[in-house]
Amino acid sequence: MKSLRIALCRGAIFEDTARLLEAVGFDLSDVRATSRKLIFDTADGTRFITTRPTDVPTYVENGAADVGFVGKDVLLESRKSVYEVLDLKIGYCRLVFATPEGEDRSMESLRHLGTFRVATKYPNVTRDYFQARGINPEVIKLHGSIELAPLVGLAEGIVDLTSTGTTMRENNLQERFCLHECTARLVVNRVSHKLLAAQVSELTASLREVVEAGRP
Amino acid sequence: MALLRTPPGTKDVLPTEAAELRLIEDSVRTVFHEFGYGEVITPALEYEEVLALSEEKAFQTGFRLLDESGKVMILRPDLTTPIARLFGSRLRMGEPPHRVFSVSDIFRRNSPQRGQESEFRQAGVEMLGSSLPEADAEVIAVACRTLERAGLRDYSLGVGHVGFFKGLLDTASEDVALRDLLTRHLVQKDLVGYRVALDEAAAAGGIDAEAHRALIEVPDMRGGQEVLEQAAAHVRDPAMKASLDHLSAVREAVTRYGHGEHLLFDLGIFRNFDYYTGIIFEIYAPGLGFTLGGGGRYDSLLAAYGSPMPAVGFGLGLDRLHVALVEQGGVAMSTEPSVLLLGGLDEYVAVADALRAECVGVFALPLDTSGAALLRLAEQKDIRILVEPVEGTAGERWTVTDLHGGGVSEGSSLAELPGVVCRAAWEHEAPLEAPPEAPRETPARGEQP
Repeated sequence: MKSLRIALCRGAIFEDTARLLEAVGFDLSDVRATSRKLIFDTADGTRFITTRPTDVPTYVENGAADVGFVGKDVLLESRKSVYEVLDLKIGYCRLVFATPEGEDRSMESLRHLGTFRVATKYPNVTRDYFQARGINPEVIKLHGSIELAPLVGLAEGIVDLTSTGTTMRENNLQERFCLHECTARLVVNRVSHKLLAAQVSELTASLREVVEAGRP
Repeated sequence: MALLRTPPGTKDVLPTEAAELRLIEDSVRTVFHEFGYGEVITPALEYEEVLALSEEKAFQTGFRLLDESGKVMILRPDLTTPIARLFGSRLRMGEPPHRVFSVSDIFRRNSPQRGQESEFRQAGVEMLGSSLPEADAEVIAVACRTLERAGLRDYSLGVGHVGFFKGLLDTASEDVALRDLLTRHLVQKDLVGYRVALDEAAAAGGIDAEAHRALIEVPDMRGGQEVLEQAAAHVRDPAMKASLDHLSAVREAVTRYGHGEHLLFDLGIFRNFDYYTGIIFEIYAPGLGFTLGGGGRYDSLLAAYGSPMPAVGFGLGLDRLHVALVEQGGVAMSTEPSVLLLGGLDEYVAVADALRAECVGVFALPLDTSGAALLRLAEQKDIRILVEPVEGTAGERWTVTDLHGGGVSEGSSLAELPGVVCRAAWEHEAPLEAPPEAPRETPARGEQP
């Protein structure tokens, strides 16, 4: 039986993902041992591919990996056509809208100008969310330190990930509402989902068991 | 100078790729003809209001233009709807079944994040006027034969039925909004969202436990004959039973064509088009992350065009098939070999014609082409055989050289030349001096080398 090619990312969810995979019997000692290599073939024929978090959906959509582990935030932003088969309940965080403390300037801008500016690493998610509610904000794509934007007048608000809210509080930002709650997901290539059905179903079922039993 | 680019999702096709694509297209047409399908060619431009009769939401991504009176036209966004339109307007008479095919360019605005093409070539057949499972099976068999004739060895067809999931959903809940939500999750392949919505509905008492269990299993109902047995345990109304019986009958009929082993049942297939009413199928090649094509039964579509008739068909992406063939070892090129003919452009046009008459492609060059230019051309054009006149014989004597080291034949007379060239061009292994009585074999189209 053909083994799976599994895409992992070295990001924040790596440790939890690795533990999940070990709990269902995979050998990740090589993957853990070095972060220089990108491809790891294990004795049972499984191939692990390590990529940037944002690239996991791309590898899976194009069939360069059969399955992948990726955060829901990345998945929403990538808009890739892959099967999202399991909520792994790890890497919990929230994608929130925040503005500087005090009166919400974005609402004021919306009232007077019909729009407001929002800075984010997630332009697709942000646009989709607001447009579904009839609002068309000006979305400013940034690559890091999103909290800075409203403090220096680049935007009225931000859409960003938060888990504890510490960074936001330190920058005097107040969460106004949550767009999405995000956890890591198991995603599957649409052809692998059919042609490697047995392997995919087995992996999904065993991971589901571990996830539902609580953390490994 | 302006950037000489083409719009996103379009591309120029250069000779090697074009030749391979044409070969694929030829083999596809041959199979369609063998099954008695007649070609129709519909216009690239249609009135949007006419195609809109199909109520197909997938056409939202079509390219639109205005004519001089302000009417909206759309560039052909699929193969099936224009054929439904054609049957409504012109072909409604006659004894069914009708078998037609088309090979056309399709235009859809590519979702930029998907790396899809905006213009792509599809080949498809439609059988109209029969609702027999055997009609579905023929269409599936045509798809299989088409792939195999093009040279694809390894492929699978996932076959499902719209009626099973629909029956399950209709008997599970009266709540239309919930049914839409569940369907939308499945279309978007969001099985997590699907499961959450199901669990919530079940917890709120909107779905009974039995339906809940069945709906959870649907996306995983894929595999061999055992899938139909698994699904049979969940039958809740006659339509669901009928859809499973239909799938069984289709499989039996496809097996008669010898393609049964390529079928996988998959009751969780959702295609992007809403017009399907019965079986639906998708074509997969291992190692390729996307589908090669797909199809299904659309028994209501023709009614929208005034000639109610059951119908079934499929469309195959020729560029995608090409990618799959290259992955699986390449396209069997059996086009006529070419030779470089020195002087074929000026002094010896008659010699070039004599060779062309022998089914050898001739890349003609002026007599004074330099040796270095000749070699560069041979490499660029991937031509192996060089034909040149022996100096001082005024074209009476010719030298034929196999540039890949296969040998040289010197001093052939004009009468001998076509035979010598053909042997050199067709017989890759044999040295040029080999006796001429070896029979010339023409490789069959579609055979892998």
